[in-house]
Amino acid sequence: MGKAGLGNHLKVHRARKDITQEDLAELVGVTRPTINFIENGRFVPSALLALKIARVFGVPFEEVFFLDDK
Amino acid sequence: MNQIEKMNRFRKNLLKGILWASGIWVALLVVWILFVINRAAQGAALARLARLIPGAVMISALLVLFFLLRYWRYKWTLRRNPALRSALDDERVSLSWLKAYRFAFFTLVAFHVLFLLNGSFFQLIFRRPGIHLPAFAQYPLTLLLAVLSCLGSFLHYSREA
Repeated sequence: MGKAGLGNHLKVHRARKDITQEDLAELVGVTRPTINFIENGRFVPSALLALKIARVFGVPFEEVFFLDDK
Repeated sequence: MNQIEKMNRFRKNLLKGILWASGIWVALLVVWILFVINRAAQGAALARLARLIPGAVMISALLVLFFLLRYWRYKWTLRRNPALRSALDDERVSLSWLKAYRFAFFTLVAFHVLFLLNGSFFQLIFRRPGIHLPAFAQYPLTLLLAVLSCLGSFLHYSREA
């Protein structure tokens, strides 16, 4: 089994909700660069933060984050 | 721009200020050690350097102090707003600080090995004294290198794509 990373559809969900990275950051209580890092796959958020993000979009966790087998 | 973003930028600029001021301080200390203490320059050039450097060191030290005081004020402001504080020191920022502390620790170890090699091993192997590094120059140099490596690596780890 290869090394799996955490992929995400943050950009898609943000576009659907029409919110910026800054808005999302404020809603979940982090800085905008943190959202940028997560969106670009450069930072794996904690379960708590990932769940908070999913709650903002009003979708289950798996719809925003997924295992990326590369 | 919301308050989190504003304070985040403010912090970044403050840390850059401390980084630059301590970087200038380190550069001046190195020039002082090499050219004034170890006499790599001679005559008028040495006299000019010896006159200029203490004043320049004082200015850079005051700059570091100025930025440190502003950083302390920034931290004080955050005390009254726990939500803002936790947003600014989020999990990615905390991780970046941890990586920065680790980097600073290894930088310090590496420099201490260099100082050790310069002090005793150089003498033992080459039968020649290494660079003369008096304690009054070595201690601030070590401290400033720790600050530089820590802040530099923090800004590097937290830079945006």
